[in-house]
Amino acid sequence: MLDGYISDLEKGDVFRPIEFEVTSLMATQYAHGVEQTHELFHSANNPLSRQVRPITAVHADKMKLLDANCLKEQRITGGRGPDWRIHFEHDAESIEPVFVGDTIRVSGRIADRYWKRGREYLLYEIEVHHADGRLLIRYRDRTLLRYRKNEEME
Amino acid sequence: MGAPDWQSLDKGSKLQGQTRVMTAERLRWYGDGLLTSSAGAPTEVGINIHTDDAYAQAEGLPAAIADGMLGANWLAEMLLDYFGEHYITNSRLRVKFIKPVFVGQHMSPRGVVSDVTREGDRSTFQIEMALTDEEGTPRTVGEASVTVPNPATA
Repeated sequence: MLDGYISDLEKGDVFRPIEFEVTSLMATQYAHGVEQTHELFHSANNPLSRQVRPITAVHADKMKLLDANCLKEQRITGGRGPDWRIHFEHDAESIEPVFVGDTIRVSGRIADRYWKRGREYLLYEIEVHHADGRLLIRYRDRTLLRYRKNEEME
Repeated sequence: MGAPDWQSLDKGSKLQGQTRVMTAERLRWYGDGLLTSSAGAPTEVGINIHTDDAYAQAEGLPAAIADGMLGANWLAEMLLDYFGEHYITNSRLRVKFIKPVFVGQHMSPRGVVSDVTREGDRSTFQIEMALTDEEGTPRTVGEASVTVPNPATA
């Protein structure tokens, strides 16, 4: 179910897409956060001749998408839900670079919600397209809804 | 030894990244970077399972744990070191956060080329990867593929 907490999401939920321009701040601050100093992320003075956003920053796209679709739990502005989730799997395929200045459209859905060994998981499938329609990143993300085990579900 | 370079890699070649100590400051840097990239404006991370022991313990964890994406980015950095912009233009990185990482642990990105496929003017490297602690125990595991132009056509 959209518009509640992240823990309210269900298999089959389709997110309302978001669209925004990738700024230099978005690229450089993510790179700074992981001590990534390669010039690719900080200026156009690199082999691709344009400033690039780190591929792994698709994680930030997921957060933006969740903020736009889970209105009771907007974590970017400090909101929180019943439990803190634990990221379990990151799977990002880069088809084309995301450049600073690009307008991108992020869409996605909940591909699965399931229990395994006493813990409940969400499987996200997210795509990042350029505004002109080109697919840039295909992303799958698996997240535990809470760290504590539910012994009854083991 | 010169800078890492994919042209020196073949099946069985080992990759090595920079060993870093997980620190509380690094956890905050990642939180700030992720939130700033998500918000598109400078944003500081608050109290959560990555920044506060008491909060983490209330969620059932023994102490604050690193965001898995921090280690994922250190693995991505290793790919960038070896493959340069080719990691950005055509790659896939899939990792699972199988054990928590705590402040004070020494984390080392490692990899081994498991296969190389050469087709036409391109080669694709498959790499098994892990982020290991000071005892050599993998805490994040995964695989990557990176496609590069063959030297004659580069």
